Amino acid sequence: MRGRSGAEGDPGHPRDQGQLHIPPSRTRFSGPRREQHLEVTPAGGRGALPDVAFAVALAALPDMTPARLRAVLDGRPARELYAQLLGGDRVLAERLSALWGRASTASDDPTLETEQSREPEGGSVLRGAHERTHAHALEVLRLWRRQAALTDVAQGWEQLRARGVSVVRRGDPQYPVRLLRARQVPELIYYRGRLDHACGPCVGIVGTRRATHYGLEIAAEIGRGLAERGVVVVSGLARGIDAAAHWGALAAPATSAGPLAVVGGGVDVVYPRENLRLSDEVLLSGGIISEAPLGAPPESWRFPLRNRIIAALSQVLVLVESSRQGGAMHTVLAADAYGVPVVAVPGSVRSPQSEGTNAIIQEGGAGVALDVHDVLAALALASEHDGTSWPSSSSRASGEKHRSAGRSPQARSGDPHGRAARSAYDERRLTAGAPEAPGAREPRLSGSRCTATELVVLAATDYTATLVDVICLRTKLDLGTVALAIDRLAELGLVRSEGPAWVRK
Amino acid sequence: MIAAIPSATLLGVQGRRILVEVHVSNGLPGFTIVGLPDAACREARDRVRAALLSSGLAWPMRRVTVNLAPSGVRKAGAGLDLPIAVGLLVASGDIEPAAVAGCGFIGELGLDGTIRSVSGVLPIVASLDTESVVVPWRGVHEARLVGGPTVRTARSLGELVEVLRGRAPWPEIVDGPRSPLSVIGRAPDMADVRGQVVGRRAIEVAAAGGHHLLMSGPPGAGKTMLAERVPGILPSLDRAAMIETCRIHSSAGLPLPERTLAGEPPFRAPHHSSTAVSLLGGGTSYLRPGEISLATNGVLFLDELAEFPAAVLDALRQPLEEGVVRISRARATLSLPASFLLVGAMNPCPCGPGGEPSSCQCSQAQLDRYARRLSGPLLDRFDLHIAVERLGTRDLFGAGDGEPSAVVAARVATARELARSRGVPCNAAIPHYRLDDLAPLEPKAEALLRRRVSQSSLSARGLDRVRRVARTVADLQQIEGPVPAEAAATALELRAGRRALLGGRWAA
Repeated sequence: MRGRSGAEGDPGHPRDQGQLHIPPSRTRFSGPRREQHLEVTPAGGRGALPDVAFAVALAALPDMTPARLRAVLDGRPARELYAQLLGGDRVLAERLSALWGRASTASDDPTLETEQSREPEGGSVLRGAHERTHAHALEVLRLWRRQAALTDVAQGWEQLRARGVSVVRRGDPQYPVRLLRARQVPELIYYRGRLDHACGPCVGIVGTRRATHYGLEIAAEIGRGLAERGVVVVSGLARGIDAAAHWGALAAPATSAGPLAVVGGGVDVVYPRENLRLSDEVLLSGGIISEAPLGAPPESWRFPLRNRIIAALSQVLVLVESSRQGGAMHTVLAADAYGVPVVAVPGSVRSPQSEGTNAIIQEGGAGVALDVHDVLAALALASEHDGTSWPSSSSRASGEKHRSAGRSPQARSGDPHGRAARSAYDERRLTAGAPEAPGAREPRLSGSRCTATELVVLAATDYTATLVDVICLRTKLDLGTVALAIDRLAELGLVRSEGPAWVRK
Repeated sequence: MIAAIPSATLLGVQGRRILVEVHVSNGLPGFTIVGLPDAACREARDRVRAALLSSGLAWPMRRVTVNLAPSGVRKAGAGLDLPIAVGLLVASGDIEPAAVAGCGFIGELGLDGTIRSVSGVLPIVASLDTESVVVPWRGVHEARLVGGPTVRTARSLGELVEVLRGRAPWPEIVDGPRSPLSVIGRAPDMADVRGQVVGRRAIEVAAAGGHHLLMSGPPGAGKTMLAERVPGILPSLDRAAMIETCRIHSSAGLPLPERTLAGEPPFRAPHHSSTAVSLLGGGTSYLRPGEISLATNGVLFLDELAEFPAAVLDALRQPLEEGVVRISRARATLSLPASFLLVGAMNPCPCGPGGEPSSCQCSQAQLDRYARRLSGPLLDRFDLHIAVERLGTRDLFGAGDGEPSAVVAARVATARELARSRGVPCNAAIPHYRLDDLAPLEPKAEALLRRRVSQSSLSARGLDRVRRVARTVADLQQIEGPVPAEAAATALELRAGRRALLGGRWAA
């Protein structure tokens, strides 16, 4: 896994061509020996360290948040800033208190609210508030200065590299360009595995952690379908839909695109632990990235920030299952703010896990994705929009099935002329006869195939084992009617028997 | 002088006529009983002598020979004491032969002359063809049920002799307390069963079609509750069936069940420690009917079915198939009636499951072993196999009271009538070759069952059983034509318990 770390200078690694960029890692091997690193003088041996090493050291300071890091760095070289910090420069305190002043004004990016709530009260409203925030900033800076004096930047950098972790800073050539559209652009991106594919076609798949069978199956199907066609599946490596989407992408043939996992804590922290194997698998073909410094625990305030990265990286965001207040809805709002088209997979109107998805479809906030083809259509439109070339010739070769011509893809894309939609439609029509990959399309929920009674029975069936008695009592239907309906639902693959009882899939 | 007194003994559940011949002649005083008496019968000599003397009657100091005809058949029991004593009195001239002409006698004698009751008064009296019969005081009700000979009784030998000598009238027979069902209280009512949609339907279908029912579920789920309510929804016994059931009880020496006398089918629930003999019938001296015969025309409820010894359960297979149990012993072979509705109940797994549903901690191996305790052939006898679960509070309180037994019983009676009109006693007895004729399927129902067979979730034998049950389900809705798809689906759902057991897996 470490071998895949892009910045280690893997010769086979596709790198931005034509850029004479020297990756930070090169300096690690050609750089100064260890005893030189131990020098404490600001100017001396540190010259060999990449600038980003100082940014990493800054990010690792206590009480440092991504927003504070952005504020203090202010786009300048980190080395210079580090020296300023050690020298007790007052300008940093100004930048911090300026950040806190801004924090009091509402942002339209809800993913940032949790981070802002961690900052002290802003200054413009209350008299004397500015003085208070300035004093607080000085206090924070004193803490940082003490910590920075004890920190060995070179050692930290080496530890990071030893763990197979690489870092890119905003402005670096490998920095994923789509991240720049985020409201608060992440200053640093830590990653394990590869990052280069984050610039290719990317689709985010997000949803609830407490997913149903249905949601998990759909997420996996879409994940696999996308990966097969060379699209990077971006998700959060969480329980439920995230994990299913990743596993689906990993189930695609070896030549497919590897998934990209955006985690809330440090890239070396696997959370939840049950996804340990999944994260290993992801690293084999894809990458894990994070904004959080190494070893950062998965604190709750970090997850909305993580969600904005997923939204920014994705060209299309797929919402599979989510409650109304689910974390995935934050991702959707962020995607909306960044102009990322959202498609949602509808679900049962009785399933609490589909409340959010159904609501957002109803409100017109998202297109309807019934399977991977809908996602691909949306992606084709989005790609044409932002100029990246997709589908590539290779993904064109994989046969896609022409479906309902009556649906209008451009309605969801915001493409006023429908030009892209037409071309996507034409493409699908041209390849209509191509044989479909086996198992590519699973039977799925289709309201029109069920009678009203069957839907009522389905709704009364839990996602855990439900006895027919209970279904009868809930629906107030006769046993014969329920038995017939449940038999049909089983035939459609919507329920399955578990012992004497029935379970909704 | 010679006297011949008609009487009878019991073999299985049938009376067998015996002619008690008493010969008194001159010669060395003595008393001999011939004609294959068993030990109890041979001891009659001493009881009769003591009873005569205690009653103030003379013991003839002559040679007395008693022959029990037909001589080749072994006689058992003490029921021949009274005819021997009466024959002796007639033969010795104490009683006029005319006084006992056309009268049969049954009863055991005490040493003080009391006439004691014997088991099987009902079948014994039924087998007699005399004009009247004298039975022990306690056997009067059984004897009068037969409706054949005039029933007379006396409390003691002395009293009897007084009557036969014409010095006293026959003691008046006071009709015993025959309470109507309203006083005894009927079987528990179905209205008490809340929730249990499948359970309620299963016992209704079982009662209507004579389908054997197996219920699996944790303790406290209501299996026994459901089983106890089956007799209450079965059709009331007609007189012949009631007498048959009473005859069996009488033969077993049991008091006649009051509810059965009032027409309610019997309900027998033997404990799982029962032996094969106690269940099937038999025994060494006289062949006593077993529990399965006692349950004839009613319900045999085997709780904790899996705890019964496997050999005992497998012995049930033949009676389940034929409706009779054939018992062969060295001395006799006989068929006892055994047409009953079998209701079995078992836990889903050895552990109970102890606490809440799905808290079962049994290993897969334990579950497999438990499931194998019932042999496949025995399981196949159950047309209905349901899972009964404790319902959650919410679902339980949402359910109102169930239909009362009377309403269900009316439907069951109608369904049974429909079956009889097709020429079968009940739908469970429809033979394979008549299924297409008597239980045709609607196209949708056929497609449904065909699919299950092709998914191999239904065997060929299982298909027949499902079709019979589906017929009953349709009959209960008074659908006489082809069986609709709902009925077929219901029949499948009423076998859902099999999925759990045969899969070797239990999930609550």
